[in-house]
Amino acid sequence: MGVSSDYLKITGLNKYFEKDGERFQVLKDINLSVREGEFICIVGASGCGKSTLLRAIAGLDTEHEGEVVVDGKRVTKPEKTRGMVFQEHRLFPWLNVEDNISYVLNEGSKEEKKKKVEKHIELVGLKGFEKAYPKQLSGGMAQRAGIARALVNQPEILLLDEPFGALDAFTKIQMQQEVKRIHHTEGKTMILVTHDIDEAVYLADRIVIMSSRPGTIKRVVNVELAEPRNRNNEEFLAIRKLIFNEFFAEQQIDLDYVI
Amino acid sequence: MKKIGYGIEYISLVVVVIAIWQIMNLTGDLNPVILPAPLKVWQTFISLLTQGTLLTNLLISVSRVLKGYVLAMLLGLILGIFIGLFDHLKRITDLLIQIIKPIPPIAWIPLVILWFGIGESGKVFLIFLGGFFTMLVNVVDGIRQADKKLLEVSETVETPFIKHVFRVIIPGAAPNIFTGFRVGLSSCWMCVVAAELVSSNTGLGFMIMNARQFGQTDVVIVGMLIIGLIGKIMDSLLKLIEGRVIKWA
Repeated sequence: MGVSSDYLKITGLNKYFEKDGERFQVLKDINLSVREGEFICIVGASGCGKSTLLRAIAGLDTEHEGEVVVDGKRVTKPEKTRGMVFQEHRLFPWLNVEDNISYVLNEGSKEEKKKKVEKHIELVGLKGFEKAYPKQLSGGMAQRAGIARALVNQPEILLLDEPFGALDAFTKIQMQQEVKRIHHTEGKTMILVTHDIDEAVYLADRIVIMSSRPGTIKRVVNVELAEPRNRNNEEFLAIRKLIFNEFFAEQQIDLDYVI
Repeated sequence: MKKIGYGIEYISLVVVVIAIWQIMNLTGDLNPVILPAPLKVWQTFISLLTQGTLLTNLLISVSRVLKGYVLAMLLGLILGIFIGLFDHLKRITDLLIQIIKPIPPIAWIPLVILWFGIGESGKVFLIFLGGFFTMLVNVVDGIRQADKKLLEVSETVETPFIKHVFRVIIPGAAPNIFTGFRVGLSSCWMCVVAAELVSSNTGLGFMIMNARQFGQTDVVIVGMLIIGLIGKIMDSLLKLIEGRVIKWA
């Protein structure tokens, strides 16, 4: 049908916050179309509104102008067809890994739930930790459980809000590979918000670059790199540099001006 | 070795206080009628124990407290959950609760006698009053202070409301709820003397007031210390249960 390029469509999104009686704009005229199965990374400095944009897509934040449409349906509230992974793992401390994951399943028999949970625990490589409580897990493991929980409902879109921001460098790279693998095996549309340029270039099919105050889409970069991606090859570095310059070229001009 | 050291620290102050108390009696600095020596108190304790009066009164008081406490706990928990969940209910009930809460149970005694007469139910009601508001307020606070981030997780997956309440909101509030249960139990227990002022002829409160009339300060002190000791034991028991229930913290 050729509609797949508009699987997720954001049109004319404007968002305002009020602080101390003053209204200021967080997101300005955001327009974006996402294909089904695409991996989008939204990159921006902190405070640019990228998380707010993701929350709008999730339906957690619906007070804005413009609309978000997924698969022809307008987003007005959170739905389980859009799974969400947060920066903090947000596991329920009183449930073990297994129960944390099965908590989000509201339908189906016990057997079915058990099977799904098992499958997703395996998918994120947490086998053997089913009975562990969140406080017994390392940051990376907890985040894996969080990803399994977001996936177990078979969402059509996975939204990830700086999911590896709090992890150490090694775990982070490992988790990026893991997410990449899951994207390949599950083929889900994924939208990941990050301030890590490397992460974006490694993961994304397209990178959305945002500028701050108000948050606008400055540029969308296609990442056409062969898989598996090598963080050290020239093409990778070229894209990395291009994005880097989007953020820091501006500042150099500013400095010249000051001098 | 360390543990023994901590144990010694734990009981040291009590031992010192008793020792000073005993010495002051021996040197004649204390009038034994006003404050009998610890040894005398101990002898009275033993004799009350062997006579059986102490145990009978203790059991009666404990059963009154438990009745009032369980009632306060159940009502505090159920109402607290509802008030905590619904903002309208919170606003509607807040002022009334804030006004009634500071009234000490003793001030209720005249009304309680009028309403319930001098039977058991009035005493249980007073003990109930002693614990109810503390527990209610703690449950409400616990539920309202629930971690918004965790609630959001539950919302994003379209969790049915009842499941959301029982598996996320209440467990999240559990530490606060338990604090309420513990503080509530100690207030209920503190009310036992007040409750037994309502024309009683049984219970620890009665034992104390009765002994006062006969100038038996030693019996008064035994009664007081037993109340303190039992209060401590009940709190420790609840703490133990809390540790078992909230094993994730």
